[in-house]
Amino acid sequence: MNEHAVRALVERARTGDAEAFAALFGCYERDVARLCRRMLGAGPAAEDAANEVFLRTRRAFESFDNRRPFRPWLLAIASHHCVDRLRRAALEARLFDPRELEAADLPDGGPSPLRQALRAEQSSALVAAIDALPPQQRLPIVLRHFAELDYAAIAELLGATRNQVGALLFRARRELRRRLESTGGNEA
Amino acid sequence: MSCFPEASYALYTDGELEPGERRGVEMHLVGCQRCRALVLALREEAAALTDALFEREPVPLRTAPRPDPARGVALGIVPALAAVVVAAGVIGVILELRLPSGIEWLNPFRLVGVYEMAFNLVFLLRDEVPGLLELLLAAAALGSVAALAAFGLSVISKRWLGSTLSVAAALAVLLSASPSWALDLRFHAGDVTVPAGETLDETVIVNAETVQIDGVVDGDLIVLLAKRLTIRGEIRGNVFCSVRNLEVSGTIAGNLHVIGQNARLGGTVLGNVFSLSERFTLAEKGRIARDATHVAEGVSIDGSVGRDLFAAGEWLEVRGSVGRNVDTRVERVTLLAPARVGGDLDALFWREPEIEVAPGASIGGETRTRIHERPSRLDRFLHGHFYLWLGVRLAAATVVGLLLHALVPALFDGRLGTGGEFFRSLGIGFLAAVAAPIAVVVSACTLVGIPLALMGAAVFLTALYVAGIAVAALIGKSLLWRGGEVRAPFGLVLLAGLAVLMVGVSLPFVGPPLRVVAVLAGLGLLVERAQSAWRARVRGAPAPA
Repeated sequence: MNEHAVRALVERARTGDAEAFAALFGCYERDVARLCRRMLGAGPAAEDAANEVFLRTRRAFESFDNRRPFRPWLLAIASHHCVDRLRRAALEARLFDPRELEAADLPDGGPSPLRQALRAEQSSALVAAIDALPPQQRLPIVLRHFAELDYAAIAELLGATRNQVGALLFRARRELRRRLESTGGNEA
Repeated sequence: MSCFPEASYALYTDGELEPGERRGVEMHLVGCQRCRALVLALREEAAALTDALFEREPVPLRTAPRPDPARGVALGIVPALAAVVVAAGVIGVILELRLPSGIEWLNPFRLVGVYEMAFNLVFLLRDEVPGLLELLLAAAALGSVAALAAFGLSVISKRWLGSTLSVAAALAVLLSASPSWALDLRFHAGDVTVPAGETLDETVIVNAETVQIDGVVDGDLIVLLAKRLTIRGEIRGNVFCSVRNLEVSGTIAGNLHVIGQNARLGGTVLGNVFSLSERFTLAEKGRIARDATHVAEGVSIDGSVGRDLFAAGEWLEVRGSVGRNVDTRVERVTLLAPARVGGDLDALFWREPEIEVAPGASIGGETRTRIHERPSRLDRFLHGHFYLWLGVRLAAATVVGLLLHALVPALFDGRLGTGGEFFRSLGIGFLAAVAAPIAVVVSACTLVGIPLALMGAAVFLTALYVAGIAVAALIGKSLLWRGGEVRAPFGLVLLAGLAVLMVGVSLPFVGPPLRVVAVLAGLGLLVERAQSAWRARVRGAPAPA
């Protein structure tokens, strides 16, 4: 769906047109569901979360600024909701070990970045590897590469600083490379 | 400057560096291939992650990591403009002014001295490095044959056996080909003489210091890079020769093709004569039964030409007879008694016409003298057909570009590079533009390499055209660059770039040098793309399972 059509739907939804809002949300429903699955793992929790996001979005819709793109806004809400759920599940407000968040000491010389070998057929292997990461590494990856949030937004969500987000992402990608190299090396 | 830590490049790739740091990283990337490769890898990784999470078909990402395009253009523009201005100045001076005669030979647009220099170089090599030219010739000849064979083989075998085998086959052909397999080449360090009364019943290919034919060659005579070729006997086929001095007093039943410094024809040629030389003389007793075509500094015709005479170069002097028309593109035409021209005399001059027809000379038809009018640079902008043609060329280039994009999308990947990259492309393009024609001519000189030379020339001309289109696509991309990518369809990108480029090269004064720069940069770009495609292919060759 192009930008104009989305804008038109947003305009209509603003006037209280429930049908328009449902259509609007419908455009991104799959993205929301995917985000929840990636963040919470496949299962009923993710489906619940997706439904909850629908309600939250409708409540928050009045504050949406139509000049900005809709998808990132929606996914930011979804991300918030998922992080809340994770926090609740962990029974602890702090999702991250402070040591994980240290920006210093990020040495060079780990596995090199994933190349196109992983692009075509192995996309599903890559997703599986992302799913298998611990949440503190999985979340930044999903927020960055699927919700396409910038560091500041991710930092706000996770209650960290931008530098810490950079360090988290750096470590997460490293870990991903390491895992993929040790499992996929023979197949490539 | 030393490299940044990998974490900084990760931040750079994510677009999360502070402006100051970003500039530092970009400055470093301009000069560091290793870090560029790292950034490229990080970008590919990011794209792979996004694609995987979106569960969508990956789109191949071949964009080289480069600093912001606007920055690259800014870096490139100033030196590029300076280069254009200097080039415009130099070319303008060469074209507009007559250089003092002492340095006239520097002028690449004139013939003076070029032959002298070329031949001196060839003979210097021949004398100082014995065997080198022979070796090069043999290698070029064998290489041509082998390349043709390999091309054929690869076309046949590619379908079933893949490229590795065809490369091996090409090597095998190259290594196994012996001179006798290709053609009967004879190399003699000294002299070759066919004495009177002797008849050779075959085509003769010979390379020797001096060649003298007093007997009969019942076939073609091919002489490569001799100092002197003297034909007193009879050649029943054609003669192809590249010699310093040619002297013919015998008979050639076919055509005579000569590339040489001095050619003097005192005998009879029953076919046509084509010469590219410094000086061509048809002596009083000389006779060319059909047409004579000469590109030479000086042409003097004392004998008879059966049909038409065409001459281009510095001067033409006729004392003999020409059966039909004389057509010239020289600076000075002289007809002395008892010259006789059966048809018309058409003389086209570049400057003031210098034509002298002595009282005893006769011209059967009309004499037409024209000065080649160089249209004023601004005049053409007033005519509608100029814009019509611009439109037609734009449309043609767009269609070709779209076709190419469908066939070879990789050709249009990438972005307008930094200043350094721009100049590297320019340099490579310049080398290609110089080397390709030389390779074509050298290949053609070996005669057996002529098919290869023709193919090479066709490829080269195509590349020149495509170069412009490739550059236009890049220009279009940077015009429509929004938020880190191009969202417009390729057709629009190409059209925008072509429009800008065509308007640019049509401008008065700066247009022509701009065209040269664009074509050279594009050519360099094509060479680099071809190189990286080749490398990727070699690297990406299927490994055994």
